[in-house]
Amino acid sequence: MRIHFEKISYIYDRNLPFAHTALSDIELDIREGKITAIIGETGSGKSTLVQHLNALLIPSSGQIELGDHLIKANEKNKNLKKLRKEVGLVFQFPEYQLFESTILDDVAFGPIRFGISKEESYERARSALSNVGISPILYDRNPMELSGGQKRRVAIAGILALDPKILVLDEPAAGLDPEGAKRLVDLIVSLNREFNKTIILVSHDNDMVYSYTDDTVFMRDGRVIYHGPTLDLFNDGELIKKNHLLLPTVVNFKNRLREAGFEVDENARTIEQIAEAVSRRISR
Amino acid sequence: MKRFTFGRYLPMNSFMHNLDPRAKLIAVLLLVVAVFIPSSFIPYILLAVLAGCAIYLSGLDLRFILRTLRPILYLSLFLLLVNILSLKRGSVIFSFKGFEIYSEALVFTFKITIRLLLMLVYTTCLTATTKPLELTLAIEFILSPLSLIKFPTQEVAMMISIALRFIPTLSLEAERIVNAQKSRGVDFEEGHMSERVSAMLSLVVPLFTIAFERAYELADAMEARGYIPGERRTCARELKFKNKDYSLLAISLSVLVLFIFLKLNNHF
Ligand SMILES: Nc1ncnc2c1ncn2[C@@H]1O[C@H](COP(=O)(O)OP(=O)(O)O)[C@@H](O)[C@H]1O
Ligand SMILES: [Mg+2]
Repeated sequence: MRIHFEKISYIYDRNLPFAHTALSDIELDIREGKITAIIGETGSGKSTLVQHLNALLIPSSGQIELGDHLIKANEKNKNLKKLRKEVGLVFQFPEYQLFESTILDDVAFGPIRFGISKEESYERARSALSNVGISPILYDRNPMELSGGQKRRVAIAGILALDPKILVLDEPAAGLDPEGAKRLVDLIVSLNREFNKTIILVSHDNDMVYSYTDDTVFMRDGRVIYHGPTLDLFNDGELIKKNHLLLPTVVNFKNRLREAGFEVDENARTIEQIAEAVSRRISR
Repeated sequence: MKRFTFGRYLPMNSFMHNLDPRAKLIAVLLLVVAVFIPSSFIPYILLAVLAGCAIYLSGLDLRFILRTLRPILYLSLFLLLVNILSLKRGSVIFSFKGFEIYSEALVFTFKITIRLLLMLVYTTCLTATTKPLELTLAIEFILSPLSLIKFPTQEVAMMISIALRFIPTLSLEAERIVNAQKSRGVDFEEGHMSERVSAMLSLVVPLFTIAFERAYELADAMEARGYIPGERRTCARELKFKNKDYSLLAISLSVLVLFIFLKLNNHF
C-alpha cells in the first residue's frame, strides 16, 4: 500500500484565536514492507502526523495517498471505515481504550465493528492475543485486572485483530518497564518479518530505532528535517550535532571500538552483531 | 469531533482580562438573574447590547463565540419542535390539513433561546477572560458570608474551580478516546440503536476510568504539596477593587434593579 504525503499542513483549532500550526509542508513517501521510525522532540508533531495515516485528522491543506484512498483537504472523505481497517493505529497509552467486560470481547470488538462475522472475529481475537503473549487463562478476565504492560498488549491485540496491512504505533513502549518494552519490540519486529506488515512507529528510544528500524523520519517544529535510512541518519555527524540528537548506545560503542583500533562493520546494528565481530577478530 | 470551547480560558490582554475576577463574577450573576425577569422583547435589546459590549471588551473573536453558541441552536430547534406539537395557545399562524401551529409556540421558544444565548455569552466572557485560579478566589469571595455558619467555603470554591479546570482536560481525553475507538471501527455518527449504545459505552467507560485516575493523582499531588482541607490558606496575590470594577458592578446592578422595578410596576 502506497503512502504518499503531498504538501501536508495541519492547523489545530483553525479559525480560533488559539489556532496552532502543528504540521507544515510535509512531503513524505513511506516504504512498503519496512519498519519506519518517527522521532523528534515532544510537540514536534509526531502524533499529529500519525493520525493522518488513517484519516482521523484531515489535512488543512495538501493531500495524502493511502493505497486506493486519496484524502484531500477540505473535502468530505468517504469510505474511511475501509481505510481504517487497512491502516491499524495504536494510540499512545492504548490501554485507555479498553472497555468491554472481558479481554476476549474487547479484542473481538474491533473486527465485529468492521463487519466481520462473530465467529471469525473471536478466532482472530484468540490468535492476536496469542501473538502478543497473553495466555488463554486470562481471556475471560476483566481488562482492568491486568497489569499496565498486559493491558497495553491487549490493546495492541485489539488492533492486530483487524489484520491491517499497515500498523502504526504511537510510542508503544512509553511507560513500560525495560523487559516489557523489549518484548513489545520483538513482537513488532516479528509482525514485520513474519507477516510482512508495514510498520510505522513513533519512538523516543534511539537505541531501539537504530537497532530495529529501516527508515527514520526526524521531525522538528512540525517539519520533516530528515527522512531516509536510519543508519545514514546516525552517521550524519553534522545533522546530529545541529539537532542535539542523542546517539544510540551501539553507535557510541562502535566509535569507541574504532578509537581502540578495532575494525567495526558499518552496518552492525545491535550489540550482539558487534560482539560477534569482536570475538571473531580476537580469536583470529 | 469539534472541540469544546465552552469554559476555556484564553490568555490575552483585554479590558475584561484586567478586571477584578470578583467584580466579573458578581456582574455575571446579576445579569443572569436579570435575563430571567422581562417577559417582553424590548429589555432584551438592552441585554443584547450589554452582551455585545462584553464580547468587544473581552477581545474575543466572533467565531469563537459563535462556535460556543452553536449547541444552543440545536437545542432550540428541538425545543421548537416539541413546542409546535404541544403548545396550543395564542393565535393560529399556520394551518395545514388540520395541523396547526400556534404563535405562542414560536414566541416561547424564541424567548428561551434568547435567554440561554445571553446567559452563555455572559458566562463565556467571564470564563474566557478569567484564569481558573482567579475564578476560585472570586467564588470563595462570594461564598465567604456562608463561612459564618461553618460552611466550608474554601473547600467548595476549590472543588468548583477544579471542576471547571477539568472540563477542557476531560474534553481533550474524550477526543482522544473517540479517535482511538474510531480506529477500531466505531462509528459515532451513524448505526443502529445497539451500535450507538456500544459506541457510547466505548467512550463513557474509558472516560470514567480516566476521570477517577486523574482525581486520585490530583489528590495525591495536592497532599504532597501540603494541601490540608479545612486549614486556613493564605493568598499570594491580594485582590483589589479598582474604579473600573466598581463601574462594572454599578452598571449590572442598575440593570437588575431597573428590571425588578419595571416588573413590579407591570411595565413588562
Ligand atoms: N488536540 C490538540 N489541540 C490543539 N493543539 C494540539 C492538539 N494536539 C496537539 N497539539 C499541539 O500540536 C503540536 C504537535 O503535537 P503532537 O503531534 O502531539 O506532538 P508529539 O506527538 O510530537 O509530541 C504541539 O504543539 C501540541 O501542543
Ligand atoms: Mg505524541
